[in-house]
Amino acid sequence: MELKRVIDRVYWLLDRRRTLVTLSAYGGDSVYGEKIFNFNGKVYREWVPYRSKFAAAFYKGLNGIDIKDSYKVLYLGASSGTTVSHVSDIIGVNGQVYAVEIAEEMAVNLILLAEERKNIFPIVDDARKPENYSGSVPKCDLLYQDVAQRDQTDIFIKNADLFLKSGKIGVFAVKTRSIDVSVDPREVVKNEVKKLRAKFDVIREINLYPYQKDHSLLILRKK
Amino acid sequence: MDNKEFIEKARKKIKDGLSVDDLIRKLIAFSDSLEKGENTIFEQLNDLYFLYYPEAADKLKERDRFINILRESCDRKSISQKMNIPAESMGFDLDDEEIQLLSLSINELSNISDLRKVVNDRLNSVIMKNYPNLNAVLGSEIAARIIYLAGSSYSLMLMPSSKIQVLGAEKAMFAARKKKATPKYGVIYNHELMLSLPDKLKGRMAKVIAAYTSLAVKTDVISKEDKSGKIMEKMLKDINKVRKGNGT
Repeated sequence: MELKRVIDRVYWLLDRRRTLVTLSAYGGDSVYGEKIFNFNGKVYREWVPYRSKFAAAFYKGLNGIDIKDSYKVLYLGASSGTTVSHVSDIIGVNGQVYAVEIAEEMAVNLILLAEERKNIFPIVDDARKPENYSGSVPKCDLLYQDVAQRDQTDIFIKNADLFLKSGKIGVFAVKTRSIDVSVDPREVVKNEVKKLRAKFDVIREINLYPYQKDHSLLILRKK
Repeated sequence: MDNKEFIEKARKKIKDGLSVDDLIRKLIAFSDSLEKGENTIFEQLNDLYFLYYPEAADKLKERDRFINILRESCDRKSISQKMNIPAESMGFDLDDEEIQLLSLSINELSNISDLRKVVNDRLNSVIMKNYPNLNAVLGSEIAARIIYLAGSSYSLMLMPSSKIQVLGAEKAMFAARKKKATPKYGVIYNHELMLSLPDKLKGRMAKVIAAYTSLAVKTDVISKEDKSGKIMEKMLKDINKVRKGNGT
């Protein structure tokens, strides 16, 4: 076994197969049933691509992104906190991840996670109405969105306007099936990219098949 | 900076967001899966019993009857007396241990059946207490189900009565986008008023019921008063109009 660095605190664990892991910032407990590795006295948590779109992007060839220690991250569509827990690993104990989720049952898990991980700031609110939480969330270094709504692009632009520092990265999971089922997925992504061009440079577009169906991950830089 | 403040706020928001509708939703889902399990177990047990005593199992294809008759004992002798059929059977002769296993399983099935009744009773009383008007118009069972389908009483209140009319018939509704005619009724179909009605009038009756459902749920959610007497009086007039065949 050996470790190969991808970005800070994210590694490929090379054994017979490669496994994406993050260096745990909060002890050796498994959050959602993922495997735990002990290596050279440090604890690493497996980042499962079938559960997390961000992880799937790394498996599909993403090899660098501007996220590091002490960053402030706004995470929309946090769900039960699967990906959030890894983001919280990456930014470390000095970072802050503001996790927005509206579905109550999912948010309960998120809150319980936040009680263990002090760098997660749970917000139970609608990402469509960023003005509801604009008072308590500062300008952020990274915006991550995964909301699977028809108007997800508008939600992304609205939040980026309010919270993302210019020149910083936005990560946007496009669920093509949520926007329009009748149109070819590639067309859908093209149209969404067109909308985003005015305010963002599109750095990369990653199709997440076979880890996630009908999903693309867009890496954007705010102008 | 500490995340305590955020956690406090989020916790409070979750707590405030929960209502009796969530309880209704969970209870109805529980009751549904109990019934599903009940049916599966019943089918298997009936099959097993068919091996032992096919003459009796053939006459016990109904779940509740099966449970009632076999609850106490299930050997051929007592069942033949209970059902007035010959104890002579062409089935396979089971050992005592296997008969014991059978009766144990049937007892478990009967327990599940009782549990479901308790859950439904609880559901009924929750509906009666919180939605008296809706209960008067629909009966507690359909009232609970329609709240379940709408998501919450508040979103049910916001629905037009034409939507309420077809709640539970989503599959037919989406099929209607292509070629078929739109459905006339969803869960409302099980309303007691609909059962005795000739098919021709059912569509009209569904319309009346849906309209009064809309009225009742608005009364329940907004004014929170029990005006079921007044509502039912009005509703009966419209029902009689439909019955005469010159309705709304």
